[in-house]
Amino acid sequence: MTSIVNLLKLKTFFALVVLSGVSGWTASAQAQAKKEPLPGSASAGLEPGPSAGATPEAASAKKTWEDIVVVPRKAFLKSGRLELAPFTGITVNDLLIRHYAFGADINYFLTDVFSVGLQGQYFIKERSDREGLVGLQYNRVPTLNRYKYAGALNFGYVPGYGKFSLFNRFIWHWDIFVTGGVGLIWSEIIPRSVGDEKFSSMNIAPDFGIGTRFFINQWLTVSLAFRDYVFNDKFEPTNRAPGETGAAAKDHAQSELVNHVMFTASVGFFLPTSFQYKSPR
Amino acid sequence: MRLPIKSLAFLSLLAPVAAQAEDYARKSPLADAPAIRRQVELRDKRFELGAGFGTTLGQDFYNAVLVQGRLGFHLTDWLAVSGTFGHNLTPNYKTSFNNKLLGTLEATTKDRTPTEGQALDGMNKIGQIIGAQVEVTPFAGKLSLFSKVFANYDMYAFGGPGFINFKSDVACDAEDQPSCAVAGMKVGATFGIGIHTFFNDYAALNIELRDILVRNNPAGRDENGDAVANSLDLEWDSNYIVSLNVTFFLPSKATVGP
Repeated sequence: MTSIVNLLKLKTFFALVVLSGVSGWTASAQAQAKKEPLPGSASAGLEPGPSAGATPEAASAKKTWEDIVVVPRKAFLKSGRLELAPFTGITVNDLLIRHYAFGADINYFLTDVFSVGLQGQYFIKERSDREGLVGLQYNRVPTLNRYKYAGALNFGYVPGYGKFSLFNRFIWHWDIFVTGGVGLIWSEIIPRSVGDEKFSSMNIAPDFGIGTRFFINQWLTVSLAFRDYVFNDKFEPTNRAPGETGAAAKDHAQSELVNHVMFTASVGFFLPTSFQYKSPR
Repeated sequence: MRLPIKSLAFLSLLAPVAAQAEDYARKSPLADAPAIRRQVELRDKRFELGAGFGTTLGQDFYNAVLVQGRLGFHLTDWLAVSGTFGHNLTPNYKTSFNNKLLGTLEATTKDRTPTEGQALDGMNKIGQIIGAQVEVTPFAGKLSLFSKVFANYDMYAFGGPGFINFKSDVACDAEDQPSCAVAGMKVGATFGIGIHTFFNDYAALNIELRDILVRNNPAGRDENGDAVANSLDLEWDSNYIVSLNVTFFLPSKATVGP
């Protein structure tokens, strides 16, 4: 009885050895197959490797990635998503006064290329060096307005899409967007005489923009843009009488068409934070 | 005798596990692959010749529209040396600020207010610009417009010495006058960014934003409050220029990478 049991144990042992040997060989063969693709596998309806038909030595020297075709999909989908994009900006086209803007865009993408959104921003002014020199060099005080805040309804379109590599190591995706809309901008005069009363005006301001959006991950983007706000602003009249009230001065204010061009940088947060491709890879 | 058989059986069972572990530990076959394969080497070891136009941005008194030439050599795909020359075609193109300012000045001087003529005599304008620069091109890629037009492009940053030759309507013979125009070649630095958008393997549209930083006094009038215009009033001034060039790369045939 003991000998039968021993015989069964011995058979079990040999069976296990044979099984493990077979599975080990299979694993090794799979690994080998990954290292060296079978002849012709690279050209299976895709792209022939550059060393197809080469000697075995040359084939073994061939880089593994050369036989693998990679077709990346569009990295970022926007359709049906909301973009919350706080931004900051600076005036680029006024010699005498500079405005820093702090605001946000909220855009909803109706499709992957069309969006509709709201924008709001607050401005902080800074007088330039040239403005300071006008008094010293020409004995004149410039007529200037400061902008206070603005809001707009905008429509966006994405005409272009691209990708770039950084030193041929990483691939980044980006797009070009254009925006257009209409809004309101509130401005206020900076009186030439310090004690004089100020007046404000609310101006209808069509706006146009062009920019580029870089996709960082599935929900985060960084954008750079130029935006032009065009409006008919009211300036302090040059013939303002001493002591004239703000309201009286506003009645005969000088109007001038203004292009308020800003360079802005924003960070976009997309909701929902992920998306699904409609078609399989 | 029982123990060795069990141990051997156990070790034999571990063999395929070890093989698979080695398999899983192996790195991805794409790990050492470049981001772009079969990349058309549009820059590496190629000369670049270009011509176009530029315009100043944010000048105080005179805008300049420049005709420009550009010559460069790309040492590698990402590193180049180049030079730019520009000549001002519009030396009398006043800015809107200048027109408004001159409109407020009178024919006779009053207190320390200059006449229109005195103000104009002090202002200088750009004659020629020269830039010698090193360019670094970290970004290169492809773009599509309306999913119809596809183009290779690159973006670069550059820096190096920059020169501006200033001109004036009236030469300033002696210093310490109320108006004294700054003229002649000024040496400083130039830096900026640019892009190439390729039409094909050898022709590209080049857009560049450049700043040439030199010591200048564009009004030619007192800046430091000593009531006279002289060399003490010079300050580092930015001169922004945006350029649009068509450039050609030689040799005309680009090589293809791995």
